[in-house]
Amino acid sequence: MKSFFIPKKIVVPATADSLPRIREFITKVGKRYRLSKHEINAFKISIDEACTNIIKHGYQDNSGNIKLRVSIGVDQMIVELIDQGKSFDPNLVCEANVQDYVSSGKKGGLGIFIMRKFLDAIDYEVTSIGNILRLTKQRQQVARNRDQQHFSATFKKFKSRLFFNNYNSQMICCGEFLLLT
Amino acid sequence: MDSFEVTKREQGNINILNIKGYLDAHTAPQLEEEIQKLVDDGKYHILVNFSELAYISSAGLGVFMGFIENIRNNNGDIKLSNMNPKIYRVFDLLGFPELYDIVENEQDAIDKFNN
Repeated sequence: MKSFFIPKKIVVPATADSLPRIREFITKVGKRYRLSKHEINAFKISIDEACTNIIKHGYQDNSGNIKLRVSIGVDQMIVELIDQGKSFDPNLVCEANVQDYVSSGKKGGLGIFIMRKFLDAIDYEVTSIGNILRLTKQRQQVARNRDQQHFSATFKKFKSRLFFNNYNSQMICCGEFLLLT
Repeated sequence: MDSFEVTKREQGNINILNIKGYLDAHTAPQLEEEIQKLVDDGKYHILVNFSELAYISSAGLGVFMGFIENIRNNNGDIKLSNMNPKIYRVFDLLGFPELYDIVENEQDAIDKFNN
C-alpha cells in the first residue's frame, strides 16, 4: 500500500460508552485525509460492529482496552483493532443467508454481516501483543484520483523548490519522505 | 457525546416512537425498554419515526428483531418510517425491507395500520 502519512492511533476502554469516541476518531481521521462521506460511514459502522463484538464477546463485559490504528493510502484504508480479550476470528462465522437469519428472529449476530457488506477484507491474527483484527476497504476511484492529484501537486511543488535550490540529487529521497509522512 | 432520545405519543390505537440521535450498543437498551413497556401494556401497534435518527448499528436493528415475532403473534406490527438514505441503506443491506414495513412517512404507516 502507498501510505502517505503516519498511522493514527487511539486507545479506549472496552466499554459500550466508548463507541461514540471511536466513531468520532474515525470521522476526524477520515475528514482529515479527505475520505468521502460514504467511505467514512462504511468504516464507522464496521468498526462500531467490530468493537461491540470485542466488548461483548472478547472481554465479556470485563475491563480492558481496545487500540485502533488507522492507515490510509491511495488505494485502500486499513483499520487495525487490537485487544487482549478472548480470541474470536469473525471469519469462522459461516456465510449465511442474511434474510433467513433476520427472519429467524435472532436478536444479535448481524454485526459480522454488516462488516462483510461494507468491507473488502477482514483478517484476524492472534499475536503476542493481543488479537489483531484488520479491516480493509479499497478506496473509491474518485477519492483515489483526488488523492493522486493532491499528491502530484504537492510533489511538483516540492520538486520545483528542489530544482530552484539545486538539490536535484536529494529529490528522490525527499519524495519518499513525502510518501511516508 | 453522541446522545439518543426516545419520545412517545399516541394517535388512536397507534403508539408512535420518535427516535433521535445515535442508536448503537450503548443506547439500544433505552429503545428496548420503551418498546418493552408498550408490549407489557398490550400495545402492539407501534410506529417508529426515524426522521431525527443520525446513526444506527446492528444493536439498534436487533431491538426490532427481538420484538417483532411476539408483536405480530398478537396481531400487531412495528412499522418504520421517515428514514434518511444513510439509515435505510443499513436496513436494506440486511434485507429488512422484505420483512418489515418501511414506509416514507407517518401517514403511510397509519394508513397501513388502519387498512
